[in-house]
Amino acid sequence: MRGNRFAGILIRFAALFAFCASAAIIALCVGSGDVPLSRIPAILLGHGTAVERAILMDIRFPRIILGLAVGGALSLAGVILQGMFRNPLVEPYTLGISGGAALGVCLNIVFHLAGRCGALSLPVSGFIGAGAAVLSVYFLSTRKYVMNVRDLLLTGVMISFICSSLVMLVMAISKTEDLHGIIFWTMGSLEEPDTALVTLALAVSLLALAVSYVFSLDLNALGLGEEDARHLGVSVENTKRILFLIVSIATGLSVSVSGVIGFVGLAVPHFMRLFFGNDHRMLLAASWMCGGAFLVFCDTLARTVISPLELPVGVITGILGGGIFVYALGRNTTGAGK
Amino acid sequence: MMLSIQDLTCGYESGFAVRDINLTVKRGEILGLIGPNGCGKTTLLRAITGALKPSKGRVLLENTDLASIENKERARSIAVVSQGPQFASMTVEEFVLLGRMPYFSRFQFLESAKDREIANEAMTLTDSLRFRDHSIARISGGEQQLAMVARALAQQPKLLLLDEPTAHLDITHQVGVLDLVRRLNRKFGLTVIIVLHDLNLAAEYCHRMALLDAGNLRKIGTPEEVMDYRIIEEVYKTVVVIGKNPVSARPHVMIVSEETRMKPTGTISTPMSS
Repeated sequence: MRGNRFAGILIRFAALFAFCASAAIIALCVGSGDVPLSRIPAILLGHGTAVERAILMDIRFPRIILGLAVGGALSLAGVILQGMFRNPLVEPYTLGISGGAALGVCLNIVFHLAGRCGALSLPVSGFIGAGAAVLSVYFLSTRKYVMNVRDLLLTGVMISFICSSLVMLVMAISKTEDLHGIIFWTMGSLEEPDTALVTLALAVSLLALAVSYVFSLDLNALGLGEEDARHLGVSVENTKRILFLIVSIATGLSVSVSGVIGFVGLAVPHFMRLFFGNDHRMLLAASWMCGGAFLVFCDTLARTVISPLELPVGVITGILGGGIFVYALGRNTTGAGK
Repeated sequence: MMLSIQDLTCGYESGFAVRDINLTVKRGEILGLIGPNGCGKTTLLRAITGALKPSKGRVLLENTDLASIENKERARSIAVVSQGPQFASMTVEEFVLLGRMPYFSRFQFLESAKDREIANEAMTLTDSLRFRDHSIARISGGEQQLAMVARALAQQPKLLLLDEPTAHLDITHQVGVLDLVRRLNRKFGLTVIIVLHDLNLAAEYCHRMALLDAGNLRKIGTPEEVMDYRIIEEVYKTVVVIGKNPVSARPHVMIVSEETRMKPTGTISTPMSS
């Protein structure tokens, strides 16, 4: 019986890996200038033409890496928050974390901080914005060191609204050239010319996954309620603080390098629960992989649907992610929030 | 002494509190916490689990102040079968294995063979092995209670706390759960504190009973000492008849309805009227 279950898990992870690989290969081959699949190994080994190498190595490959990093980080943030609060609607966006990061990056663009302090100031602004939103939500929904989930959700939604309004205010009073940058960025895109930021995004995303694994069993216990988790030896308040920090870093970085991309953090964890259940030892890695592959796939669609024009990737994730969410809610009758 | 509660006062922001509680629980004893709704039974139990911090007094576990014991260490000594936990989507076996968490190191993610063996033994003892692969959320209330006791046993505790484990169960399952608790108490010398609403179940299964009334400890003693009709009538504010279970010879409380109480004198003799 146990052998069968283990084999089942392996098969599901193999399928997920195949989805990641397919999404990456399709993303490499398809675009304004198609590259045949048979040419890819040669180009990767340095035998292609300069144009082919530029398309693959300078444009498409960094987008795939960034898609994996951002999609993985957003899904990870979603699965952690949903596990922590046993609520299916919790994700970085509904808690105002994305909104805070968005406001941070908007201010960075308006005050031209990237030009003065370097490209790294963007993720730092995103993290500061996300951190400020998390701290506001945390302190406004905490009474006597105990966090109330209902207050948390209501406060999160309010912080999200306030941040959206402030972003609009910034847009209303900013110069035309800044306005273009902000609008393009708020719609979400995986186009990032700075390879250092792409590498940093992948490193931080993987680090967030590794650190969250230390708390995978705590997340399982939190699924029984905070009091029961405490009975099992979990330091509930400390665990929540650390997990919030991981979520802030993952979300702040994602929003700062790729803009606001909705539904990945909400839909992917729900979809993965259908196949992996509620055991976070599997769910964290599965959600990271699926979130990454999903975003790479959505980005390929965004680049090709009305080629040569490019759609904002947030449009595709919204349509596909929303559909997946409705499907998963219909199928999962004993999910996290039930 | 397994547990010693000294001058304990603790409560909630709403103002409700248990006040100046003093009681001790001997090793290998089953102590029943009884009292009317809202008298502070669960509040006292939460103070013993460490979920509520005392505003005055202290709780000693084997002569060590509970406040100084780290969470994991406390979970290795005290296991709790709580009232109405939220069951996530997991199998009974996965649920019982969570009871091994207090023994995991920070970077341990998988259960060892020993952990599985202990969980299996806990499921065998509680007769929950037969539904180990079922979803915990989809089994009956009685089976869920057995699984919860199994998880508590997997923690290998010295002290087992149960908060109304027979609520919502029919008499077959009530007796099943409490027989199991008594077997565990006798076989392993497990110390048990159990919150019960049913006075007869408490009198039948507990060595001693502690009666709470409006946050105060009204009486503690053997079932015979606590089940005095004067005390029970005063605390519960109703008329009762205390008899004896003809088989176990334990005290047995019988209620008297308003209609019966109003019948002409001589048709029924209650301790109040006699």
